Amino acid sequence: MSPFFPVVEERHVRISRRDRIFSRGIVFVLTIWLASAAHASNIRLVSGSRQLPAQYSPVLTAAGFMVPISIAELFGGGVEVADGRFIVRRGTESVEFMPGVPWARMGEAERELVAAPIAVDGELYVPLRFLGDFLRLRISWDVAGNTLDLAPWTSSLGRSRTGVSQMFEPALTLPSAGFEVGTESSASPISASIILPAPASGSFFEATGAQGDQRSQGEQGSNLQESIARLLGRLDSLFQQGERGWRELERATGISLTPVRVGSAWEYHFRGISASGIATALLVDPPRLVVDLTGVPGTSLDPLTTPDPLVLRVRAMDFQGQMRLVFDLAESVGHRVQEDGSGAKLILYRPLTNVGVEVSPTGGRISLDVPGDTSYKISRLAAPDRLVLDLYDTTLVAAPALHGPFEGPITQVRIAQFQPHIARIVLDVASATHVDVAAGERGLALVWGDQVGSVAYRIASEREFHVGVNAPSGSKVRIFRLTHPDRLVMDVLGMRLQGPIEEELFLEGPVSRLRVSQYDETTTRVVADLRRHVQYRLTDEAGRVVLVMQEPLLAGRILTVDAGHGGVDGGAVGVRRGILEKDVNLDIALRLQALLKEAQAEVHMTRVDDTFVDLWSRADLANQTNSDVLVSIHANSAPENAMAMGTETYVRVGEPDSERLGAAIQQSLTSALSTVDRGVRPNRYLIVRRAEMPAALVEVGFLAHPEEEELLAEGWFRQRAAEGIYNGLLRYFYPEDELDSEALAASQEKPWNALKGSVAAAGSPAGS
Amino acid sequence: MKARRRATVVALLLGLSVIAWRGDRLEREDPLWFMPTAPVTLYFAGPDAAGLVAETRWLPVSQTDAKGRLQALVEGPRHAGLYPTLPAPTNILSVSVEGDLVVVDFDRELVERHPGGSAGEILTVFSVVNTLTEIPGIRRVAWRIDGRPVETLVGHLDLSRPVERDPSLIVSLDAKAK
Repeated sequence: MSPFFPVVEERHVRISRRDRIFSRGIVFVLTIWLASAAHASNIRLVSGSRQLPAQYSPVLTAAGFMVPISIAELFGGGVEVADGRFIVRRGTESVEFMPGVPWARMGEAERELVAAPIAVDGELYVPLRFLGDFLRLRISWDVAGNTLDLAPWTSSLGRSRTGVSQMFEPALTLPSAGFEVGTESSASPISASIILPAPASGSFFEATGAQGDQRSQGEQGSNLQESIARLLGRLDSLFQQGERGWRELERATGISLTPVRVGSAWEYHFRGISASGIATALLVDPPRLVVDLTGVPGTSLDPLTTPDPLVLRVRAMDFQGQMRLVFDLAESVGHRVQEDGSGAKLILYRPLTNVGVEVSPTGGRISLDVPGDTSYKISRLAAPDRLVLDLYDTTLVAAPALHGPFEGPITQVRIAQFQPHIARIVLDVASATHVDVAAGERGLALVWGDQVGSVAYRIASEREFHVGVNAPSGSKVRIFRLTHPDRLVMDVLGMRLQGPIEEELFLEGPVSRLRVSQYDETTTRVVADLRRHVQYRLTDEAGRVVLVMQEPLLAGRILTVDAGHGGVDGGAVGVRRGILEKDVNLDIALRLQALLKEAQAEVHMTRVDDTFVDLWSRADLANQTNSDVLVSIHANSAPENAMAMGTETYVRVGEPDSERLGAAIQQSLTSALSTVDRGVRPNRYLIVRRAEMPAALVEVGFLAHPEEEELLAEGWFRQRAAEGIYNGLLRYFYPEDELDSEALAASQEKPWNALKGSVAAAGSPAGS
Repeated sequence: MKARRRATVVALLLGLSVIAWRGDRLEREDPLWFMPTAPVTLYFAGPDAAGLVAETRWLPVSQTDAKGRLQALVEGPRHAGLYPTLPAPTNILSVSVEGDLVVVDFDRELVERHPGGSAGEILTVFSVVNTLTEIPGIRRVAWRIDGRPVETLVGHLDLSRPVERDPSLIVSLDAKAK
């Protein structure tokens, strides 16, 4: 459902006349305000040491900083305006904004914005964070100096790789927002250079930690900001479920209550009542927030719903003559009610339900499942040295915990609710280390040292390939196969990647490509594309989980490979180019012979050149050589039919081993060629019926089909066909997935190679 | 009065002779026009060359024997979406019935003109076998080329012994390859 053109029209139709006048009034006033704000703003905009001109100054709104879109020109981007759309281009990427529409289009995808862009005087103000991500800017906010610093990224983390990075795209990462934590003692807390997304009221928390409710911003402009918020809130709430319910409440009581989205959290704005008229109480089991509106006569209404996942529903009822609203909550979270100019607002704190603690002697990771745009502050305390992370407007729903003692730079991790609106994580520091803060779409993390969650590979031999994963302890591993194309998949449950990992290609060996991605929030997926059929085994190597994959040998196996037709018997003829079946068959058969020989099999050929071989001698050869299997290679045709296409394998009727052989070859061959799978076909009169061992007649493709004929003429297609048949034979001879442990190569001395992206922290290489 | 009656008689006679003459002419040109017909099931190839699709044809009763059916099969399908299973033209040298066995003898052009392929050979052989085994009492078909027994048509099926009906190859028209 594209929110771009059709729905934009609809939106305009559904806004009432009153709101339209209202919004026009806002824009008018905003224009005046912005025009003066550019000069009157006390927010400095810099990029490193360079101060940026005032025309690019940001504007602070209920949803955070908004910047003029033309700031892109300072950072390697270009801006175009066409049909009311504002397009920012940077290299080959582009993003489109439209005023009043809270979605941006990037290529084919649409990404939601925290606030709709606002057009003023030909300039479009867009959310700073979103634009900053697109322009690859590191954004830091210095509270003391009131300075916003925009600098291009140079860190390896977050460098976008096509294909891989799409699986794991953090909303904002701060690669160098971390800092050194040493053992020198320092008497006073220090506030490091970090981004503090502005809380809804537009004020900032001072680094005092004394009373969380201090406001440092004046009331100037707050009315306008509230109006914008209200307008945004109206647009948001106008089209949601239960919209009528909220209006009914207003009609019944004269009080309007509107859910307003702020970043990834929601606030509830009351109009027509002041904060002092609102009494609240939190009940538990199940968690409910009771809100009594004093002096407001009560009525019963149908339950109201909100898009806020934290609020299941809001029930309105008459309690002793007064209006009572009960918010049924998903989690037991804290809250506060504060005045906000024209009324009051209810802020529910976000739940911190899960803290993942993974600490090893060489590194660690604390994962916090709060929204990535949660306000936080990092400070350093001394005696003893500690690193403190405070999460604002967050309630610790999980139990307070003490983790440790650990070996390594971080010896202890404590998690507790520091103040009603602040959840606090404290790391006890024993030795110098570099700590990073990483923010993803769903979560924040503190990371340091040698990364848990790294992936490496080891080439043990020509036929053996190892994948090693430094998974957190307690992770579970699940392995399965996929086909079309043939792949081995390893899911590590309980592992989170810190960032995107580059895929790696291999020109030789059983694995052709290795890819790693974040499959879901708690599962990392490793996919090995297989060039050859392998058996596998999981082992443990000093805390590293190792997946061993081995292409089995065919030593001791005897096979007869029969290239169909030959000599005067040309077989089928290609419909367009006249390709002869006998030549296709021979080419594929010879390539198959080479592969089988490499696997140390004993191979007998019914013909190795363009000679005529009579039908019965083919099966006779297989019988005389005591072959384990007979494989006959052909290409297909049908009378006057240029539509039929695909691969099929014929076997004799009533022979389970032949059927298994046929099925294995059919599956591997269609996987390798991506042709239509016509299946395994048993036939009573198959010419190979004289052979005394399992036999299959493979029809690789249709020479009667013009496109398939083209493919059958190509060397690479014939090579793939040979490999497909070869893999099918491996699968037939080694039907068990599990590798026999005695077959493992002595590979311990071969080096591990980390995949790029696995190692994020400076200093220590992965593994070894 | 007498003249008028005479004219009527002459006209009547003329009319009757015209009808008789037309009818006689029709019978000479198209002797089947007056013959009773019966339905037979012929098997042709489906579009994906994976199975045989039945087509019902009304043939004159005298042509519903083995030879007549084979002839109709050689002529090809009438239904759009079905494909012939024998290359054109195919010469039937002889068709003889011995108990439950039909011996079909084709001229060697069938082999020389055949496009090849397992799919093609199976369609050719079994369209003939399944069609002829529709005749009550017929169970097997033996193959001859130029009067001589053959091991195979184009190298995928063993035809050294008589072939029996294979019902698993029969599909309906909208069946797709697996």
